[in-house]
Amino acid sequence: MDHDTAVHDSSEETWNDLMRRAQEGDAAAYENLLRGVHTLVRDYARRRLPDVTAADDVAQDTLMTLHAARHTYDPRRPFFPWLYAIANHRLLDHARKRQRIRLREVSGDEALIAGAVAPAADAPHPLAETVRQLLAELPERSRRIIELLKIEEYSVPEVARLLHLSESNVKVIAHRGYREIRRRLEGGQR
Amino acid sequence: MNDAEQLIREIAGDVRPVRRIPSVTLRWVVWLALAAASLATLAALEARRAGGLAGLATAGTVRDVVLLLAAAALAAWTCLALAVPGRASSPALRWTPAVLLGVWIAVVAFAAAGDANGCGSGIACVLTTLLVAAPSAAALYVLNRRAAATRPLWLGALLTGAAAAVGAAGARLCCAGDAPLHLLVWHALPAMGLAVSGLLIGHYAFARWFRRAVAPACNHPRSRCAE
Repeated sequence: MDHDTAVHDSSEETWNDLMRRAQEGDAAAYENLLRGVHTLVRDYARRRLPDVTAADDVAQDTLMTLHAARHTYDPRRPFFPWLYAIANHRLLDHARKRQRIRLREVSGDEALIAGAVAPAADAPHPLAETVRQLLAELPERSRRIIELLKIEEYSVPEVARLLHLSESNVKVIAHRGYREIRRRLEGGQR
Repeated sequence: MNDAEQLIREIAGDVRPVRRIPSVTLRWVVWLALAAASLATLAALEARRAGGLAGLATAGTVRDVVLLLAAAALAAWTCLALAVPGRASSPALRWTPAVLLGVWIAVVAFAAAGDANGCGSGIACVLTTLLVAAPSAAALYVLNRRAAATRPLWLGALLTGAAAAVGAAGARLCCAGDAPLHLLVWHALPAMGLAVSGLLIGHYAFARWFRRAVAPACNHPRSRCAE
């Protein structure tokens, strides 16, 4: 029997009943409920996240969170607002984590490129030549901004003034350039 | 068998009967009774000591106490509702107690701006606020100890906000000083500080369950112990 479809197509009362029985310790009802919830939340997360693997992770995290919070469900109240409050909190938490990781990656890229292209007094960086070549392949504006920031060592406000751009625009273009160089470096190493 | 299927079987295999968290209304009534009892005890002690409630002599006191108790009751209900995912999801519901407290502080500050005399020392008022607020805050904490809050900072701030409002109402009942500057410095500001400190309680006490929910034992396939 296809459990997912069985629960998926049922009414609100069925979900309430399954959750009530799960709270009473009915493992079969709980398994059935979790399968249905997993399908619902996975589809919900996939509509909101571009990355299918991340959406699947959010769905699995939601199941564990539901398990930890199952004593707070009141069978007299609708099931879905309770479930989606948990799922949304998981999605939000995922977005926060991704933002933190992205910030770390960008600063890591920036450090790598700065180290490789900065004028060195002693031994040159082992990636210096490759990074310079990749830099030369970037679009004109990205290349110019990174050269000004990392080789000629201008500050962001100075580059913004020189190129008649806003400071945030300079940062965004530079970060895209760093990311592109990192991507090509990793591609070249594979 | 894929990861999700394995996880579902493990979670379902682990299921045991759970004791449901009591309804919001029931917990709220219990808290109101405790808060009323602590205020009544304070009022009785004060009446015995001073031969009457010093602060109840003015209309300003009645206005402040009514405003503070309304804010406390609403903050407590919202705080208790936030223990359940999906409840108190309306921003208006969460902001209303903060607005009521803000109105009280604004009224006191406005009066203090026009009459900056008679601040005096109000250490006793601060102590009264803290002593009356402490049991209310402890009761709300206990009533929410099994919370699964999806807005833990709000929960924490409303917890201490409700307790601070009860404490400030108690201090207002006992305090003979009616000078606006005294009320601002020794009543309103400590209550506001107490309410804001709840953000820390929310972060440290009511957000942990969410992190722990996805931190399985180290022998679990989804364990992140090694990361």
